[in-house]
Amino acid sequence: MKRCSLILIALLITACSSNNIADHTTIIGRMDNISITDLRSAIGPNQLLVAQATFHNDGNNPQNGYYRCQFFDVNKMQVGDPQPWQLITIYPGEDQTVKCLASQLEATNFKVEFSADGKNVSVYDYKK
Amino acid sequence: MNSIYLKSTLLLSTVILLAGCASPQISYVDPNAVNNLTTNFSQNDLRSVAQDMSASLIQSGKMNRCKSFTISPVKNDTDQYVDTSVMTNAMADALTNSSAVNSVYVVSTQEMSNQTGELDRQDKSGYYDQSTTAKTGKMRGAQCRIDGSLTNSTSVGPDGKTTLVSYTFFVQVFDVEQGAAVWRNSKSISKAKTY
Repeated sequence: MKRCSLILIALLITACSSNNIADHTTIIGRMDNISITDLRSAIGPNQLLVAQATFHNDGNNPQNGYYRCQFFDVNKMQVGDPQPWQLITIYPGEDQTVKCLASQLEATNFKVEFSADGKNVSVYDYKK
Repeated sequence: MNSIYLKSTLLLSTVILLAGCASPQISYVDPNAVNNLTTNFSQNDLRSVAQDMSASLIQSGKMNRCKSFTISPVKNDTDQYVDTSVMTNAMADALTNSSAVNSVYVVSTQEMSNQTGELDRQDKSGYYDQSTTAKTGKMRGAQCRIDGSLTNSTSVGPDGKTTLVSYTFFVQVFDVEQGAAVWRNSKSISKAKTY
């Protein structure tokens, strides 16, 4: 029974490791009412890194933000090309989760870049 | 004399001002920037959905069931002109360059003409030393085929001030011999224009 529990705990730790949020995030410009409440990563079925970030909106209105992920190898070298910025809408009081999937086995670490302020991310808006 | 001089100065100033206002500014920008200029399916959207799909497919590990694969042209079922070759190329790039994918990309329908042309040139033209040429009949067949389609639907608000365009990119991987689906996935994006 003890052995089973130990194996189970070891498996859980390997499969789902929580990360220090500050070490894995780059905040660009304002955050407004948005906060990153959880960050975790796991190794997927194909031995590839999966990163997950949870955003929370403490305000009273839905808020848009922009995010993207970057992956790094053991030597902190970037793996793959920079990704396009993605829009995310976070509703008041709600946790919104995004997943980033590495496509290279070399990816062992990740960073989530986030900005609630479109002015600090290149955004081209339609103006009449 | 003074009046003519004044008129000429005014005219010249107006021309310079107008020319100054009309001249556009050209600059390099971040290709990963968010493009909110149009509700049409933009190049960024193409790259973004193709990247997402490729990452999901690679993560699933299903591509390693196929020793080789090819990509059929993505069917554009939208009411817009969309260069879907950007999607197929982006997916082929991601799958070929991923260290987690062992499957080999083999020529697609679009690339067939160039491939057979080169084979014929080497093997059948009679111009080459046959000990150095590629031979016909040795091309590798694709065990799996990636197929995709892009659809859209447009909704306009009753006051005509809001237009919402939704796009769905659907991708499936087939085992060519068996005709069985190995993997399927879809991704949707919506863009709104409000006056």
